[in-house]
Amino acid sequence: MSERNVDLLAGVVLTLLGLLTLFYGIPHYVDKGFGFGLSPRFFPYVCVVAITGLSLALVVARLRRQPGGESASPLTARVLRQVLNVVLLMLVALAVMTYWSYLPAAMLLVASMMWYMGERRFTRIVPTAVVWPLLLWWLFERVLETPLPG
Amino acid sequence: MHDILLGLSDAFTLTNFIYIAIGVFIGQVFAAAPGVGALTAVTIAIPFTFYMSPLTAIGFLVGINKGGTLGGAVSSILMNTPGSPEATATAFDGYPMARKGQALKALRAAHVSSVSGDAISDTVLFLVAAPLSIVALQMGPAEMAAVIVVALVVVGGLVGDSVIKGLIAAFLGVLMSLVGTDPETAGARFTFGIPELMSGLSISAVGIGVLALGEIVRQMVLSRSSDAPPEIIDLKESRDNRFGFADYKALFPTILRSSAIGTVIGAIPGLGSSAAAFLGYASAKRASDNPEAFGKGEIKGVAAAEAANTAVVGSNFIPLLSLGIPGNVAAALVLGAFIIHGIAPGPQLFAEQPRLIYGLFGAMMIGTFWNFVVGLFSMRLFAKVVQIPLTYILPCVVLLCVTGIIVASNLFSAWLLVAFAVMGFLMRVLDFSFVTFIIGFVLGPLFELNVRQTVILADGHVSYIFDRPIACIFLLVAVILVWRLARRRRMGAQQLSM
Repeated sequence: MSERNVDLLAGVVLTLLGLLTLFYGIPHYVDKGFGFGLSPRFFPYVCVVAITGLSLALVVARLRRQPGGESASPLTARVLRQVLNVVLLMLVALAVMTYWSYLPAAMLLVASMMWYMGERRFTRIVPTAVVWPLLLWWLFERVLETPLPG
Repeated sequence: MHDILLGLSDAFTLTNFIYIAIGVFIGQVFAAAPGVGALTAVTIAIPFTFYMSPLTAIGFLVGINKGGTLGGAVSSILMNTPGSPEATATAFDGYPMARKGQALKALRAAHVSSVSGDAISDTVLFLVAAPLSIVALQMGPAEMAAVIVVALVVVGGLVGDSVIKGLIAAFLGVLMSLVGTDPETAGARFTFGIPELMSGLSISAVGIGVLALGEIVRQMVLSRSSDAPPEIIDLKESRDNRFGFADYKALFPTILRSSAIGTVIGAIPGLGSSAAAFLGYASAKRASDNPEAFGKGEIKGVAAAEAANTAVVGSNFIPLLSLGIPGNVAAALVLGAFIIHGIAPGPQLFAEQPRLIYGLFGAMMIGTFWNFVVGLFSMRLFAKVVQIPLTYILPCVVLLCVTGIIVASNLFSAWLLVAFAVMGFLMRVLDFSFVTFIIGFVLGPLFELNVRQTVILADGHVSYIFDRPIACIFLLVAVILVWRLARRRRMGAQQLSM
């Protein structure tokens, strides 16, 4: 997809999100106020109106721009899939950290990311995935006495 | 004078010397290491400063920032791969010098030019910030709100490829800063009944997510399809490869000119180190008797780029300390650290806590000193650091980010971190300025406070703003800037499509 079309899509998505926040998000998730001072909704409304208006301006600006002449956007389906994979690795590690403990989750995170990035030698993965988390755990738990999960 | 001496005595302690030296070293290593950068280091370091006193914490972060300006030059010179965007211009002549067997000389020229630019810029900061804050103290909430609007417009307009996208990023940042409880009524805003969100989104979660993890995700995704690693040049000793005092003397006019350019650029919000480096380089080329030599290994090119990009670091603190407005994202992070430690930067800081301000100036001097000393001994080490593969660095930095946020906040913030990492990645590939987003996020509470106070003072009368000429001028400047920048970009886009 060309940069113009990606910008156009981003503008449309942001406009819709802005309208959703304006008519649903703020009325439902921001307190109305308590009869004194300015309402807590005042500044969120200012910001969301600005974002929605600017997003609409982005859509109009990109529609007016002649297609062609610009480079392809780096945001492709393949790139999005890869981002999803990286995010999944982080989420799994955080889940392990939440329900089990810091050290195994940290080791899993480092090892899985090294594997994901193409490292296949266990002689490199294992020492890195063990030593670095242990070092951080020792620094915080033992030296600085800051509890880590688990 | 009394405050200056007290501040300097606070700064010149053994603890500060040690922490600032560590900060400078970390900044240099992170900037030299591929895939990360000094900005990532500053972001990740913020949670770790909770264990320090405010002055030590700020000094430590400033040390990282200062060290980072030098480290970025190493991979530029040795690999033709800039460690940070501002080091791009350094590669123009640094890499050809290295190819000619003068790698060590190029690194030394970068080192001394960097330190000189830094020292000059710090001196200007010391001289300018206090008088400017006296002027700023005269401003009321309407003027402050208008100044913030100008700052957001300038940053949003100059960074990235579109003024509209820049402003969207700025307002998104401000909107994110509103999550939590309303400062006046304590009403909940976008907390969704989650207790952890009542105190708002922390600068650590947003900063580490958008700046550090967002960049790491981009590197991870794009490095999988990257080409073979570039050739790395050795630092062998030879007569031709030495940098002496005579070389420094010959470079001094270039360093001075570039430092002046960097200092001016740094004091303007939005114009970062990269712009300074290119302008410094271009001016050195223009002033040279032999401009054809530039790009083929001219040592003045290295000195000009490095002095200019480093001079930005000190002068970035001019708007931060005198107005409370960060000049770039590093200054925004330092502003976040100020707030974490219970300090509100701005003109009143000079009146209320002069000792701290002069202590900070002292810490900056220590940072410059260590940048010089550490750089003398660390170049060979950095030549090794630049060769560490991304497959080792990135996973370890991701764990450091997650651990840092857990230590600073809680496990809930680590989940938020992932969301902000995705946001940071999307902002990068869609070219929505993450710099503007962070500055908007950091300035959000101050912006809201001043707008609220203005609305209350105006008591519903729009004519109130017309009674405030300075605010009117600033708002007019903002409107003109938007119009001019949008017009310039549109003309650029037309030329591009022709």
